[in-house]
Amino acid sequence: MVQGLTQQETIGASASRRTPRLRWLGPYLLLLPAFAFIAVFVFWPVIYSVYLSLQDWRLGFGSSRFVGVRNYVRLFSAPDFLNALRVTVGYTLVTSCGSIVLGLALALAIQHVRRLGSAWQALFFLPVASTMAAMAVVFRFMFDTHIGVINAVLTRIGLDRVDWLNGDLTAFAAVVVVGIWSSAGYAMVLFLAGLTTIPENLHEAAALDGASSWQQLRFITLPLLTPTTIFVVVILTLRSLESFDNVKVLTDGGPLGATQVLSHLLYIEGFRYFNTGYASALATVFFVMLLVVAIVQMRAERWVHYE
Amino acid sequence: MAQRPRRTFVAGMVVMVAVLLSTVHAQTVISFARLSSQAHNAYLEPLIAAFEAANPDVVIENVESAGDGYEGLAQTALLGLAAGTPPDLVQVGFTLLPTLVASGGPMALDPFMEASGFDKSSLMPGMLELGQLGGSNYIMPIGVSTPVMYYNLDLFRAAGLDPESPPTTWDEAREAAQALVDAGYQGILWGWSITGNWLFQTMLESAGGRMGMDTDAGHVATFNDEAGEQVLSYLQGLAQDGLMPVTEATVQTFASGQLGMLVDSSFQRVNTPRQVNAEVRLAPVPIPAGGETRLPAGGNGVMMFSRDPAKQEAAWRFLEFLAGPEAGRIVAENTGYTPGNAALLETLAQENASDPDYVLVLQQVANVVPWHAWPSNNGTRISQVIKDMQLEVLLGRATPSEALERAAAETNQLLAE
Repeated sequence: MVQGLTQQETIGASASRRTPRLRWLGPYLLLLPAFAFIAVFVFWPVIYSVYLSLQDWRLGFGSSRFVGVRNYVRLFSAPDFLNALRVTVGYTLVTSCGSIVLGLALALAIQHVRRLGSAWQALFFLPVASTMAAMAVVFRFMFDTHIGVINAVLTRIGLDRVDWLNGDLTAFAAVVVVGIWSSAGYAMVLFLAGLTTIPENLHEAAALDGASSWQQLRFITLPLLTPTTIFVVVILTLRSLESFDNVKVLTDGGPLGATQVLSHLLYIEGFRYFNTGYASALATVFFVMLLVVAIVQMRAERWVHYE
Repeated sequence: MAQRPRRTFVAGMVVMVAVLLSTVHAQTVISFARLSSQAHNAYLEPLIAAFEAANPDVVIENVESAGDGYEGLAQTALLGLAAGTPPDLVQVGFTLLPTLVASGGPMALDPFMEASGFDKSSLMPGMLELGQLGGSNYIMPIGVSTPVMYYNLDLFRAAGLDPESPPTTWDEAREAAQALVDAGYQGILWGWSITGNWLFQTMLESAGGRMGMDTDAGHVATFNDEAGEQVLSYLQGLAQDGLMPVTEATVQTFASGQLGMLVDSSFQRVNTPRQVNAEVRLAPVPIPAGGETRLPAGGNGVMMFSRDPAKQEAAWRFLEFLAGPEAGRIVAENTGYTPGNAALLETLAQENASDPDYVLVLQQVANVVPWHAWPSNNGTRISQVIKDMQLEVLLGRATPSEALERAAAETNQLLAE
């Protein structure tokens, strides 16, 4: 070892002989740009948001006042926050489950399509690649009670018009449908990638033993797809929790709060009512919620067998 | 000999560069956060072009709005203030005046008015009041819009109604809506959702009520009275009997060509009739029998946020231009806004005597009352409370008195905060 080091130093010539005391700095210097970027654009906003949540401050105003945890106390006693919490949990559960089931079904179907498989893939992936806000505008007019195409079809086949965006349940359903429509393609692509890792010979052996398609799905495909499934669950849960644009454009949180998700309430408090301190408290609570969900799901990944 | 042309050329270049540099230095760039949808570009772009042509030393730079409508513009101003770089000029809706002034950002315009000898009487009486708070002027109005009723003449004829005599009272409007529905069309849509409280104030005040608060009783909202109940009962009746579609997409619903009457902003005077594949005309907003026409002034103006004296000077020149007849004509010809310039209004009325829609919009300014701006940091939230109250009633989820009571209690609490 000693000899090796000496040799290296000899090869390294005079420059390296001058710097050994600072050599430890090298890796940190290399890390610095990335760390500085993350610190400025991720950690600092989080810390600043927590600081703002302890202030009574309105956007753009010259003065602010320290109010301690008053914003948090107000938050947890506000009916609109508790309503948004309930709606967010419901929306996330239904949208992520729906997207996963539909994504898996599409992946399984496309896997069995001999021809035009990639064309179908591209078709179902299109909603993921399109701008949600623009698509939501189209959906808003499709769901319109009087000028929407959905009701036009319903009345054409002899059914009654549905007042989609004015009923609590139907408006919620509309937002969920658009959420699933935009995410299922994403789940599908991930599941398709996962399906290619399952060895074909397992299915062949099972078929020889007389296993039906359902049994093959139940006992081979689904268990071996678990790592992908966990990953998809994590990604889609976080994606659904953060949903904003479909709610903003389609219902603006209405009717009367029936589709008011936390991210939209946060926007309204911060940028419509300009209560920056209160909105920051809401953002902090939302951040903690997302963090807890992410940690729980990361723990869940440890239980999965990858081989 | 060859030296001379070269020397001349070099000297020429130096002079050119010097001239260019001096022009660049002489130009003041002022940033302007404004609405930029198609309907608003229709008057703002020619306004800016005309101003720049008359003031070659000023360049007006467009600032993208952070969100929709007037709230988006207020957001842009407040975000700019928070970052220390507000736009020099911001287009604002009149109801956001208290919120923006409370931020400490906008400049009072009075010192500029005095210094330039601005003639306040050149504007229609009441125009400047829309942008006044605490005795100071903050907004130079571009134009006001008033509520107006658009009606589809083709549908009127098809329903056997007389297109020459549109309904003038609530009861007549209801009867006309019934006739339209009986003929297979939609009846009347009162644009209840426009900023939450604009048409509610129109209806309330025409029924004898007042939007505002009773300061003697300790900041208590006054809309919770008999007139308020009359308005909500009327709207609930229309919705429950299928005579009024409950939607926020007012213009789009009317543009579908299936809706007989739409009560909306006169701002759309030029645009809306073009969007409908039928003959459309304007009529005054129906009022209750024995009521009076009181029209809250919608519309907008421009506020100054510049702190730099050079920019303030250029910005003030633009604001002064907005009050003049040239700007007023651009606004009046491209929108349904009524400009503030008093002399121009008379000229326009004479020039357009053959266009009854135009004349109506110009005449309505006589009945304008201030659009109530809640004197509180919670103004926008109160507008939402009033909007929700109307939706509750329209969807039949509460009786008019229940909804009024709840909304008034919530408003009083927000006023007290």
